[in-house]
Amino acid sequence: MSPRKTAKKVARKSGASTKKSAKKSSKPTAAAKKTIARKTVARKTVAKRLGTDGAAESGTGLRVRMYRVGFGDFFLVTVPTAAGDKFILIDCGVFKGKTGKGDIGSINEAVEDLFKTTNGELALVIMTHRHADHIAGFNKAEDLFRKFTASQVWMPYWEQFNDDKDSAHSLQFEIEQLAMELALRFRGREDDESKEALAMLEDATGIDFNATSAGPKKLSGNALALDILKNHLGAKGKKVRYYAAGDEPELPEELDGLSAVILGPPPKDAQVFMKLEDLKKGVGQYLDSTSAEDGSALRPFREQWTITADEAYPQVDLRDRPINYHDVIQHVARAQPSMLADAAKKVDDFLNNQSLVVLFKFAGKSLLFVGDAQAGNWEHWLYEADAPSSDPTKLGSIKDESQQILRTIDFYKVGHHGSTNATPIQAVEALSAGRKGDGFVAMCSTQPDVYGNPLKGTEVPRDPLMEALGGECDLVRSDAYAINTVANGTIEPGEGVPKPPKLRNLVKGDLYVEYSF
Amino acid sequence: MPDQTSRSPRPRKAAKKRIVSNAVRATAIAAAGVPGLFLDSTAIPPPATRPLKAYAFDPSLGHFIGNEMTIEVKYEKLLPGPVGRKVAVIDYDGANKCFYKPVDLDDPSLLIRGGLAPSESDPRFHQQMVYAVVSDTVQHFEAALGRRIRWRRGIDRLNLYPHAMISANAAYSPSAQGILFGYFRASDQDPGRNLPGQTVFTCLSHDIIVHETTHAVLDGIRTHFSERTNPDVPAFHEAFADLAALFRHFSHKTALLDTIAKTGGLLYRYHLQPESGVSSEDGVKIQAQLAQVNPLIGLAQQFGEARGTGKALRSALSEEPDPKKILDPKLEPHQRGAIMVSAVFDAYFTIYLRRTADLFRLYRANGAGTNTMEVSGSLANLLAEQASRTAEIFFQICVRAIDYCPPVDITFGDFLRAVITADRDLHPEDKDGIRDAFMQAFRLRGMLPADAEFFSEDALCWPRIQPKSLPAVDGLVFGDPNGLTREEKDINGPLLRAYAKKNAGRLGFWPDLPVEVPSFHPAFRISPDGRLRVDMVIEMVQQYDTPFDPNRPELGTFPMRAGCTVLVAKPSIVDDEYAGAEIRYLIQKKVDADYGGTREQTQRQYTLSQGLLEGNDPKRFSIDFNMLHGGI
Repeated sequence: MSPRKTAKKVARKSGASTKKSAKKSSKPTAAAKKTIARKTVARKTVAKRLGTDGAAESGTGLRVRMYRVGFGDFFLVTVPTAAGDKFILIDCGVFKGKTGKGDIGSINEAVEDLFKTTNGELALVIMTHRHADHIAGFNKAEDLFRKFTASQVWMPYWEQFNDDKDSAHSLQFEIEQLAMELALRFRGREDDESKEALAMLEDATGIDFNATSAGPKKLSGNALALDILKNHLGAKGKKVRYYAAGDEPELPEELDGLSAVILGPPPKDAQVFMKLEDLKKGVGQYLDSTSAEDGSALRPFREQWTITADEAYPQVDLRDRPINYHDVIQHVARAQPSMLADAAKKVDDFLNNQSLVVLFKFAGKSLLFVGDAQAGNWEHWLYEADAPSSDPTKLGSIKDESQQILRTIDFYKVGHHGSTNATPIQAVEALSAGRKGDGFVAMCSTQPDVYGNPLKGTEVPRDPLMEALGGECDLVRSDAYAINTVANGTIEPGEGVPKPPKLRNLVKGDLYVEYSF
Repeated sequence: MPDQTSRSPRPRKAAKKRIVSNAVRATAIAAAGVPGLFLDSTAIPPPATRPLKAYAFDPSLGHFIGNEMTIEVKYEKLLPGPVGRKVAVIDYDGANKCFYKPVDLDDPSLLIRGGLAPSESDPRFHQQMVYAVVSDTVQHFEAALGRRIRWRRGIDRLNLYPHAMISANAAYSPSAQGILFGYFRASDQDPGRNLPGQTVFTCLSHDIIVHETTHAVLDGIRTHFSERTNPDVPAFHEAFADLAALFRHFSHKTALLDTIAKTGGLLYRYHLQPESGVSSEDGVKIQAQLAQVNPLIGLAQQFGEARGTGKALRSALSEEPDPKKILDPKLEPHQRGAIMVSAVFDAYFTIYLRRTADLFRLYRANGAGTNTMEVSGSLANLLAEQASRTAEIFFQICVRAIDYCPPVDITFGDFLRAVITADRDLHPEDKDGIRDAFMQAFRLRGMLPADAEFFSEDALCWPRIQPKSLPAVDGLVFGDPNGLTREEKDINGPLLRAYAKKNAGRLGFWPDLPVEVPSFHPAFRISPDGRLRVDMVIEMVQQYDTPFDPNRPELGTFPMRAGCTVLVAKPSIVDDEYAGAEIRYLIQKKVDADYGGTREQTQRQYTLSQGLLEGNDPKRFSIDFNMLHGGI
């Protein structure tokens, strides 16, 4: 029996035996822990075996690993140096999304795997932006992350203003308040739009609004994740660096041979690209005005004025046709949520646009990680424009420099889990013609049926985009692979997801796929 | 001749004596006594109008002179709500999920005093005011258009929801078949004249009600103006609604007189002269010394202040004319629309000054200094009359121009051409130079028609159709000023569709695709020489789907429309018969290679820039007034 087969069998077995207990508590039982230990040994063997006849023979040794966690990003870049392999962690998050299907329940095991792989020593941790689908791992696996060390933590420039509650920019505080208020209005509504908006807010705060009615008393959700990132890994901020486009980043010494260019987010003097640099003004103002002083919903008149339609309103009109008040209520109700949803979307877009966009170069290979950057962020570095354009004729000319970057990259981390708003068409076009099969790989960490609606063409990932990208390069989607977890057994590929491409340098682990350059 | 020969013998033949028998006499006398034939003199004649109280501006102006007004609404029987035939107020609060007690305006105790007195705390006054202002606005549109207006297809009674939502917004919503007014808490920091944190009702702002009603009226006249095909389309909707609201200000005599007194007749001034002067060493001490903002040229004062901006939402003359500003692609629809509003008001004040110049000269000749702010009572009256008559004319010009606009894809340049054509059509002579004032004002702000050859009145007018070059529309029924009966509509509809199909190519459509006729309505106007002018205004529209990117069909399509507005004059009678109905104007948005291609490209770019590529819900191409950035 080859070691590979053993590993699978063990995983399947343990999956079956721990399924029941896993449902009761997410923490592995003692028995399960044992299996993890055994399994990890097996896993290492698998990777090694594939590695010898795969990547390692001729490559640079540079590897990008994508853990399959569902709807979220969790990437590990391994940089080979004279002093051995050094590690860069880029995001660690997952989010359940609108449908609740986003979190496939593998992130804790993935973090365990990360610990085994890196021995808890990370050269660099990058948080692209503060959405739960990029940082939830830090709070879900809090205890384990407390054992990790990092030499440096990178965050987007805009993040530095977010913590100080006395400053005008205490964004996390504002977002939480804002989200709580919005959520108050959305809760109990059953329509699709409200659910999506609520999900966006949960993503922004990491708070499960349906589970907790009270406010966040102690650190939880994203606030906890940020605490781990800034105070534990970032040594109370001493190791944290905030970067914006154009900054020359300082890399940890041990990452010898690696260089990095920061392409996004737009810096402060280009804040027009952020569309909503002042949330309070854009969204908060709207909210301020909608609730009474004590935070409850505003009531314009006293109780005595309220009445039912049957009591006081005419039942037939002047032409003796019946007036249907049920329809009236429906009409008014349907006209309501759009603005609230708009407010929620603004928060979402704003945070996505904060994404740190990093281009790594190592031994002639370029790797582009874009987080969830959306229009404003892309526009700033992609086009020759000094302001966001609502006239796309002007978007015609991509900067030579940016075009050069896009044409020569060897790896692209697909933005925002494959949503259309995060990879502009012009960028797809610039990404090279006919380089497919020429070592140009894109990775997209996603999970279908979590967000959007294919009938409206807003599904994530967006099928036409996936097809277009698949035509330009070898597209590796996390949801195309089955993974084996201890807690939840085998997780099958997403429904309707096309078969993954067969690549020589691609290694599949139990919880991830890894590409060697 | 044969007629006369056959007629003349008849009286002679019936030469027998005309005697009325007694029996016949008796029945005739009895018939004269039958009640109901003539209006019974003891009955009370039905009222023509119903007086209703309302705020002339909004509650924040308090008892400022003229802030409370009485609107004479055309009388109709009303059910509690009030629910009428054309509009119905239904006070359902979507945020608190409850109904509020409706006002019964037919209650004798309300009838006797012209409705409830203005009050912020009584929802029934809110309902009354919304009903009154909406009805009043509709009446003005009907007067200017020369016909009854209809709402968008599918809405036969517009529902008004005075407290529909908690939001600093109000919106016309076709899908909710009505207008939703929001309420919100005023800013805590800088609420202007409001109390910090007080509840502000958008349904108590006269301007906001008129603005939203205008959206509904315009949407009823031109269905496709709510499709965002170029940046001017949503902006036009906003500008037009603002114009209607602003021009209403000048019909309000009391406020007008007060403003004239405080601006020395120069109505366009932003600040009013304080009632009491301020000396150089002694600053402002009492309220009478504070310079108030001119309420006539500002929109939605209370709303703007409550949002913490400290000023009216928008102003008619906001900034200096700048031909470059319109080129800025970042302008949102309201800002873009504000440019057109200021152009129209520039023209308005120019004409007002021109028409009152002699009055001022006479006044000064009588010993008044040139710089004085003092205006005597009788001069103020004359000025007010000029101001309101000119405002009425301008409002009519703008409204009538709608009938001369293309049915799809409107631009500001198209509107200017429509204004010039419509006005010249009715008033060939332009004594006061109104059209010239319009042209200059638009030019100063860089709003130029894309397809006119010269910037002269002649070139700006839509070209007339060469008689006989298009076949006559035979059999078209013009009806009368009451509109068309169902039967008449059923004749015209198929007739026009057949006409459009047959002449598709010459009308500027693709010959092999169906052409729709979304609307046709007769317009009756009295020209200055006293003749009644009757035109049929017909919209013809064709839709076809165009790919976002011809090389990438998977990205989906967007709808392109070709359209033309056809004006058919009611023919004169020749030899006891109507001649064929000739087309006078054909105002087109064509699809042919040159023009259509450019339009396609513009629309593609605009659609992409609006992020409409994402998704495939066909509704996304329509303006959502609720989302238009705080609507209003």
